Amino acid sequence: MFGYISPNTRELKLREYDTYKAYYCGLCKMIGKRYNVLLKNALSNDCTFLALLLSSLSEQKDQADSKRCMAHPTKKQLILRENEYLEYAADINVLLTYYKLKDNADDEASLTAKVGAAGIKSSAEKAKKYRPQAANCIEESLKKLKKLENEKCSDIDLVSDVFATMMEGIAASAPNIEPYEKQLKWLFYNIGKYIYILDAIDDLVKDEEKNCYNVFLNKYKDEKAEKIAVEIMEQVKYNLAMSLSEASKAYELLPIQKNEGILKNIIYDGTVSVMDAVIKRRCIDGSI
Amino acid sequence: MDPYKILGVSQSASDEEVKSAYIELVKKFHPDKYADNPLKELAQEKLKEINEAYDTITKQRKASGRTSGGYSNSYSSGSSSYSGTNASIYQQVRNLLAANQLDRAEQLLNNVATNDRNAQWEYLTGILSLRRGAYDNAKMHFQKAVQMDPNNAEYNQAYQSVSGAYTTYSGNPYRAGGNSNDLCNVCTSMICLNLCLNGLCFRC
Repeated sequence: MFGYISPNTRELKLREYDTYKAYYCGLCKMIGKRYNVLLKNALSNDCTFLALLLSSLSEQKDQADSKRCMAHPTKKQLILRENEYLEYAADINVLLTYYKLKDNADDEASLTAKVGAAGIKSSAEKAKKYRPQAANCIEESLKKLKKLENEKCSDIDLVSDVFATMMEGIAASAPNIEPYEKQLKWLFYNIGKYIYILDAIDDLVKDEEKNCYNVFLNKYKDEKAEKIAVEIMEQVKYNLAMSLSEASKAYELLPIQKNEGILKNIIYDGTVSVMDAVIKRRCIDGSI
Repeated sequence: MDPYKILGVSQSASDEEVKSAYIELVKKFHPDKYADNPLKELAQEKLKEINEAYDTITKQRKASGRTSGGYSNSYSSGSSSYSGTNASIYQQVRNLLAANQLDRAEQLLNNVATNDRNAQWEYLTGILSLRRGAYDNAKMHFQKAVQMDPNNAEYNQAYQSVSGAYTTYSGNPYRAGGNSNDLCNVCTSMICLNLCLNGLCFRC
């Protein structure tokens, strides 16, 4: 899906890497169990982060089993045992995958997206039933986004705010988070901003080719994507950094009980590494 | 709660270690850092907890004969007085922003006639945008405020603090790899290192 929220694995300790993988595999297994084996392919780092962060607020120790799975039939993997946050992240993963496919099917008239969306419709219905509040929030936000897209909105604050509010809503709908609601909401709001802006800049050239909506293309109508990329880079870097910096401030106010090394790696290092990689991709010839 | 746990040090930590952990935490949750953040109150609570923990530890240690250098801190947000048209409205907006009543603050700002919108209006609108997560707008308003009143320290400070966001964040101390420029440096130093290891040592 997005995958912009992931650790910089090169800087993780081995046991931290194992824990992260156990969460990733645990989420995969959970999706397979609650939904459809096919959906496992849409597993995202972003939802792993959601499960990891929420679980790390609880004092209960992480427990994992060493098992074989379909993706790794030869070697046993550490797989996290089920908990309510893995369940929540699995449901959210399914919902986001479904809406994203549906959106692509409408946007680009892509056949794969159409088939995909139709294929997981029943799973999405199930997820909606499990998480009506989150599903409602995602649906509402995507409707608002669609409207802004149709209006050819060129205000970066405005469009990214809608997506950010969706992420905020996803965090706010998670189970048993009342004591940390304020921090989680501001954290996910800003992560949402970061994801939206990064995705827009990452897709700039592709959107131009396919004639799809992109907030930056709309702002500089008569110019080529590559030239726009260079022109807006300062603005993009600023917006991304502000979002990450606010997200980190919210993170610091959460009473994290475990996995602090991985979480800090994701927030302070993983995100920045992904951001720098995307920026580099867009600004070829080292113009920035 | 255990004051040592709050400061993140063990009971056997020396006075110096306790103090430096305390100072680090004060820096981390400093009111200036959270001044325009919706989680300001939570940061204040956290700071209070840290101050109390440090206080408790110093008192305990004094009582048991261990000494510790005191570290006094008091933060007061300087309230400056402003004059001119709409001065009282701007003061109200400041109070509303401090109380996190963003909609009401926005209303008051919108009510100021376009012709009367001065540097302070731009600055306060910038703060409001910042709180709402509208970072692009925030920067634009701060820039305008500075252009209209280049000598105002408050506006300059706000503009500079947002302008340096990328450098600050991508160079955060947690990152071992540093920013992309550092990465290039790492590459070149790795090449040097390799040359050295191959017995072809020469200065680059």
